[in-house]
Amino acid sequence: MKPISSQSTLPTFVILASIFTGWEALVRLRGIPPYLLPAPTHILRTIFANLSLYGQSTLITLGESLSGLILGVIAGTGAALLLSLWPRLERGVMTVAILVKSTPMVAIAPLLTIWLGFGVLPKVIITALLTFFPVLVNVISGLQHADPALLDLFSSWRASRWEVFRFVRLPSTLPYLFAALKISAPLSLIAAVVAEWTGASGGLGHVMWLAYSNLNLPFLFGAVFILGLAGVAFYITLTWAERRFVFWQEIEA
Amino acid sequence: MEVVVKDLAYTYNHNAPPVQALDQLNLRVQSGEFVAIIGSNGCGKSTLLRLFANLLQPTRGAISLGGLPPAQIAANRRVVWMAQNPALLPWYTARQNILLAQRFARTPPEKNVSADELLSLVGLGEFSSAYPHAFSGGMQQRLSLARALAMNADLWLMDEPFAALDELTRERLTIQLSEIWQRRRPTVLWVTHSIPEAVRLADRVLVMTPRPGRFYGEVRISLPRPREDTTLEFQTYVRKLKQMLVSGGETG
Repeated sequence: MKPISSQSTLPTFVILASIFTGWEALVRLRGIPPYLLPAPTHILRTIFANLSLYGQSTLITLGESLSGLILGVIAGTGAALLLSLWPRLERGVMTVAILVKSTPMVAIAPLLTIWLGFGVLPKVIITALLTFFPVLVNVISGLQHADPALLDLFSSWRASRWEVFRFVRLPSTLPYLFAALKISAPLSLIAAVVAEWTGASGGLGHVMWLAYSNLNLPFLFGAVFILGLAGVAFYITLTWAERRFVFWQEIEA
Repeated sequence: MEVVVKDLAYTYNHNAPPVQALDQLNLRVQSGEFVAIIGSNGCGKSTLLRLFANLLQPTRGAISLGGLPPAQIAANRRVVWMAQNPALLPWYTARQNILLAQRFARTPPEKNVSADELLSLVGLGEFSSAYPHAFSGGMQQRLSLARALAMNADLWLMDEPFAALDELTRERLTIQLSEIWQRRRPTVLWVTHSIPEAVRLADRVLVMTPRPGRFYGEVRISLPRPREDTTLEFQTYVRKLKQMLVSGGETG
């Protein structure tokens, strides 16, 4: 368990800085017009010039993806727990889960928008659907992969099924839950944005769509920058939370 | 707690060719007796303890622990089983691991030895709020031992509890454990690879043959405690058991 040290942040910073400097230099030296590729400084200026619009849109999109993520985690964990209690349900629930998983999200998004309107709800649902499957599969696997030595110990203690669940199986799912979240969190941003493309009254996806229709590339890139930052923020928060709550395991950053 | 085993056999059937681990095993252990079991690798010593701990069911024969089959006795929480694997809860501190065991042991709180006392007994006094993942293998095993002691059981099923310990720690713990046993007088079945350890601790040492495991012979150790392994009698016992182990291996 290594903390994020200055050693590991320095190369990251150098690489990022050289990418952006190179990009800036390329645009300026070649005189590339902003409608093809705006320079990073141009994009930053656009963001700061429209700070309140970007801020509002970011709040909407982050709100959608976070609510969807939380809903998906609750539903996925709940379904996994139900399945562990009543294994007979497994086939039925897994069929539905695989159906949800295999249906392309882009195909469902327009439908939900038509049915539920331009508001926040269809985006939350799409994100939740996307989160549901990895969480379900991983939590099931966590419940099943509890340390056999611990299961033996509890069995020698004559622990009830509930006690085994509470003291062994449930904590064993935590690392698996975080693995699922690391997959789902970036996906949840994509899901919210794509859902917004199909029609929305606000959000970063909406901003991107408007900018795209007007070929306003600096504006479009502004949204891309913010989404990238949000993705990184999700990841850092998750890694931090994982270190904090799954402290007993070596964690690969 | 008296232990009686009659014509016990166990076969692992989940392997492609079934593996017969134990066969025709007979044993009688008096209440309060310390019995060590030695034998080569894979002779079924662990299997035997798992049968006592009710983790496996005999293929043939019967086990009686204080007059009851393991399936019933274990419900009274009077039996403690310590595996080779320390099996600690990684999300609990050393102290919490012990408290959890006591919670399952269901002994009245006033009878419980305090967790801190047990931890200092095994030399982990200053690590009571540390988590097991920070421990070395030997420390984990000591914590596991403290947890087993915490359960205050009448029958101890110990599967090589000192295997991962260095020689000095092993010696120190052997002496302490011997004292605890003399004070509490539980019945102990102690599986080990170390002949000197068996001679140091046990009233009686049983030698098992290789697979399928049977009892080949036994040696009663009539030395006063504490036992010094430098004495001539001690060395005689060790030599005798070594010979028995070798000839038992040949007949098996």
